Amino acid sequence: MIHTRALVLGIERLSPLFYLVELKSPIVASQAKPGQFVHLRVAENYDPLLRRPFSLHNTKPSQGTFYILFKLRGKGTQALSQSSAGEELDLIGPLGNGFPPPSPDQLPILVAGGAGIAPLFMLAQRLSSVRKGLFFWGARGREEIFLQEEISSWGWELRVSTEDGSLGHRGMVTDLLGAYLSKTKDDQIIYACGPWGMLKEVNKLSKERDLPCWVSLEENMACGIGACWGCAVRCRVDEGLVYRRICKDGPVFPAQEVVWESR
Amino acid sequence: MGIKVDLSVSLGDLKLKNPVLTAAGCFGFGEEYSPLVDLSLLGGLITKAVSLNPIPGNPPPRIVETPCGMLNSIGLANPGLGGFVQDKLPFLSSLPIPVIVNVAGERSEEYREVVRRLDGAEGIDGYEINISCPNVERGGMELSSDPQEVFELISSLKEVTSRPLIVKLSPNLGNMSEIAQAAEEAGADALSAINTLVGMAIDIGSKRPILARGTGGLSGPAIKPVALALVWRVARAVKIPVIGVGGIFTSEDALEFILAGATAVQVGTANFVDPQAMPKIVKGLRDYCEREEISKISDLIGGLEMGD
Repeated sequence: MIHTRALVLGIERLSPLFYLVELKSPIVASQAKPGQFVHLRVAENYDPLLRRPFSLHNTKPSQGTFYILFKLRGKGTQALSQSSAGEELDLIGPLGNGFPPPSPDQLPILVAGGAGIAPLFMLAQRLSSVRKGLFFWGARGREEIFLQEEISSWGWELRVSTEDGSLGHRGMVTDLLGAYLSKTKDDQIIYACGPWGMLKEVNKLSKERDLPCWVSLEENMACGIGACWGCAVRCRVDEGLVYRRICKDGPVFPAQEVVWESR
Repeated sequence: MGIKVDLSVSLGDLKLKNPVLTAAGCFGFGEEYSPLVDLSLLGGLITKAVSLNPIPGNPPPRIVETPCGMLNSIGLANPGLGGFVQDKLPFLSSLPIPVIVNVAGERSEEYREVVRRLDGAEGIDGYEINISCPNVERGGMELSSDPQEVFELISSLKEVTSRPLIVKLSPNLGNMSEIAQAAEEAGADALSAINTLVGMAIDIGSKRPILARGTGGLSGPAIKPVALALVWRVARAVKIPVIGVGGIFTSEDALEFILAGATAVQVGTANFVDPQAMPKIVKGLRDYCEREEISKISDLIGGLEMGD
């Protein structure tokens, strides 16, 4: 973990709501694992005040750079979307635990919903030298599906759904996942990131088939390093019901541990 | 090169090498921030609240940003006295700076038990008695509504410890100076002012409060003018030192509080935004004193001039 200033090398608008930012930080680029995040200060003044957590989307260790991919949602992402090449952003990272790798006999199944694509893109890239699998990706419409050629070029089988039916299956990504899982008997491991409702459904599907499932969660954060307990999530563990910190104990959790009824 | 500046201040018998302390709840138990901050640069560390038994804390969402501030509803989540002594104290007692344990409870017996049992432990330099948390049903802020109750609580704590006792005051009750005087009379060594202000944010889509518990405590630059006025008022109502807290982000903010009568300051929300905030404030205080040729920062305390 370091606290540094990272140079913005470029910012690209991929769709009306999605932006891709390339930042320079050799330490983050070389240390980051898929599923980890950086805690960025998006403004130098007091509004927006707090840092914002962003999943690592991609790294280029040889060039000392990394990417974050984000969706416009509020004041913080609005401010970040205004940054431009040549600017420096104050960052702390890499933070959090990251996705555990699959075992050699497990087929990885990635499930992304909306902005949840961000960390799974990096996971797919890193896993592609070890084990390629299936990549399920759901979005509102075709304009929110991008970079799919890259994912396919790494050897992943990409299956897309859109809510408006403008690309791939019309409906939810969990429809595609459920249909697929009901037809196969492989030894699979699921990695998911997306809205709470989607993750809840992915957990249900994985539980029905007794498959290991890891989910990356998000929540408003203050410190980002485990000190303030602001980003708590209810979990059920051996000792009973506990709160876990998404920033420090996560953001990646075994889906079965999360108390999905808590929201 | 300017003059040699003495940044030290005293909270009763507790000597600080500089007046910059962490605010309870905003710096964990120190260890969390140790990879990012040189803790030896701080005037002292005030821990997250410690209660007799572990507290899981409030349901999420627990925090939300508001203009120039944030609302929190953590609910005093902490590992309890046993967990604190076993897992947190060893690191804290290794630090070269004073460590003040923030103590919370539902009833006065709980505060007394925590202080009594911690008093046997090494590595603790004082206690901050939290009678002002706005985010719990029992204890917390409710305890500080009655001056007589505060007097009795602090008197009973004085019986079980000779270490400095700091009482953290609530800005939400309207009788802060009265409570401050009751604490002073009971033997409190210093006061902290202020805890967070009760606040709220509503999601107009779902028509529900954003924080699960409805309200939370507002902190950050948004509350600084309120905190400053209350510190100014309390500092004139008591003779014991007052520690200013509320939206302090820069050395200029800290100097305002010192001029208003604060002997020391606490930095809370600023740590979330910039983990280097406290070392920067210490440096800024030194630079200011050098520039203004002030040899002792303690000479500035309460130096506010009101004019005619």
